[in-house]
Amino acid sequence: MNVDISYIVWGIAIISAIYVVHAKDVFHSGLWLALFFIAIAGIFVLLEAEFLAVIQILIYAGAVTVIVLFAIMLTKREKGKDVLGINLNVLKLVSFVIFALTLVGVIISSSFRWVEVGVYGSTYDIATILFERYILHFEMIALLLLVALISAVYLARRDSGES
Amino acid sequence: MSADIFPLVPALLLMVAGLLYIFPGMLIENRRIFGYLSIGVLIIATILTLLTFNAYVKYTSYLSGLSVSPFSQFFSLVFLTVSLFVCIASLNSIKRNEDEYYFLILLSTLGMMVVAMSEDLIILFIGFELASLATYALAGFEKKSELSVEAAIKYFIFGGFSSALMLYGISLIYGFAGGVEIERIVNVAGNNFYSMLGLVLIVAGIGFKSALVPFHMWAPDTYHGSPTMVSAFLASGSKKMSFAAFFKILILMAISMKLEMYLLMAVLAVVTMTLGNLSALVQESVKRMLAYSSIAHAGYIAMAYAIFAFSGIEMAIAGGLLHVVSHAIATVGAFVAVAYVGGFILDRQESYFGLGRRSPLMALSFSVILLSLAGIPPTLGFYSKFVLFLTAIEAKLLWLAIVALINSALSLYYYSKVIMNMYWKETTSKFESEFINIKEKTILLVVVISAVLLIVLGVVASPLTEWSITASKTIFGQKMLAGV
Repeated sequence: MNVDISYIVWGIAIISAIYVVHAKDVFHSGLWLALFFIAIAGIFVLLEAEFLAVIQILIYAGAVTVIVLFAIMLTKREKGKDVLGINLNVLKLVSFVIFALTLVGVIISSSFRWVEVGVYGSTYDIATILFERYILHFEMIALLLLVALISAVYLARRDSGES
Repeated sequence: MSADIFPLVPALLLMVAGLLYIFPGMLIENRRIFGYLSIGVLIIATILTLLTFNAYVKYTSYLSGLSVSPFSQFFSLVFLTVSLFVCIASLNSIKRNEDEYYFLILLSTLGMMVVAMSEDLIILFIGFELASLATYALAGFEKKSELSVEAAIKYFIFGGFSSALMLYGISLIYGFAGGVEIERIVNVAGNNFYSMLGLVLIVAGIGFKSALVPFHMWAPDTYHGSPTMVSAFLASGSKKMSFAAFFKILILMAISMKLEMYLLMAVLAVVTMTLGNLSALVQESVKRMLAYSSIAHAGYIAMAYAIFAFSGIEMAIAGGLLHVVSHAIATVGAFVAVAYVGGFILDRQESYFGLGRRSPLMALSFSVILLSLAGIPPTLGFYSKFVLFLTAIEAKLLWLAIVALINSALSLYYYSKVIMNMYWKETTSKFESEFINIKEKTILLVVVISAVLLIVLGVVASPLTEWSITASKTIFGQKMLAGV
């Protein structure tokens, strides 16, 4: 039973991911993106990583999608082209196929270290790893975000001399 | 924590200084003080790095992921010197928003140092992004200039794409190795398809940043359009950071899969240097010529990986490190000289006419720098190229050495064209600069210092060589030597 559901969730994820690039309207792309994020959260739930699922919904399906939609709303909207349909030429098709085949070949040929269901993903585990083993990484990311923030503020700000 | 934290002090100093700029920046009117402060901090950090040049500490517990080795100290010194030069040169040319400018420079330098010290792929990636994000904003620092904004946007889009590629590669490697520590990956990496795909993606991601040829499209426009001080920082700091990452990752490749990586890197190196040199030949603007020449030099440095992957000769890595130093010093000097002669953003060939008479000291130092880039003795540029080419011959890679030699000869043409313009052409007095020329003593100082450094290090090369050999042995611990 569980297996069937996971196939359905995977299917939703793949189809919505395709439609993110396939949609003619950027707004529709944004909505498909939200569906994609929710599908990924579903996969996390099936892997018994409930905390990750909640985070996924809160941050990605919630915050990120809202920001994307805000950005679309605030900028001038133009009818875009269907990225998949119109610009497809032989070279692109060939490189798509080659890359897909490479990935499939790679996954079949090598021993991927699969994560066992339910081993990762509890709040306790994540907190322990994040604040013990990866505390330096955590702090560095704080610095990184500060730099990104200040860069963005600098670039977006109107200086006093400007009109 | 018993671990010796002293070698980390320079990095901490940069971080603290940068963070302290934010609030006073809003209150203080005379913001030039930030320039002087940064110079002071960078000088102290440089001295501390020099004092601990042979430190070898692998951090555990809450600092795990970092290690200080002669390799990281070598690169840290390069980054600190470059950013010190850039700060001195921009003291009088950056006249607004100094707090943000120096904050970004210091934090970017910190990111570069973290890359050199990284022991696992995640911290390497974070350092990479820290340095990159700061430089995206720096490239667009002159917001009113369309060229600068174009440079920043190109750099940002390509940079973002390359980071995504690199992260994808890292995640593939993680799935295969079950960990992100480089040491651990070395132990499990084998010559299989899977690790190769991940590594190729990482190489592509880093290749974008170091402007190796199939991934170089952004570099000329970005170096050309950015404010010249920032171009200097990008070409000699940010680019060298990606080489530090390259050294870390490619040594790992060299152990697990010798042949594939050798071919990949050799082809990349040859294509890069040839295309960079050929494009540099036809450039009108000296700044753009320097941009292409720095692509060509990335090709020379990439030779080091090919030679090492092919033969395991350590001297090749040492040669690569030497070339990193010589190119970093020469490029920062050259771009700063362009800022002096040509202008803040754009420059034309005519502005160099008769420089030999107008400003003899400047012309002389600039000539020395250009000759070092071309590889003429007795400069450091000659010495580092000599070591590199010699190891190529030693490794029985004659074709690579010959291609590099031809390229080197080719590059002499466009470097000497600039020198000819400076000494044998008359000043065309009609030249009117669209952007203000900055004639400052501080800029002159930087150019003279870098020229003197190039000559001194070129003549007395043995301490630097010995240090680079030690550094090449410790890229990530003694473990690697047992593996090769």
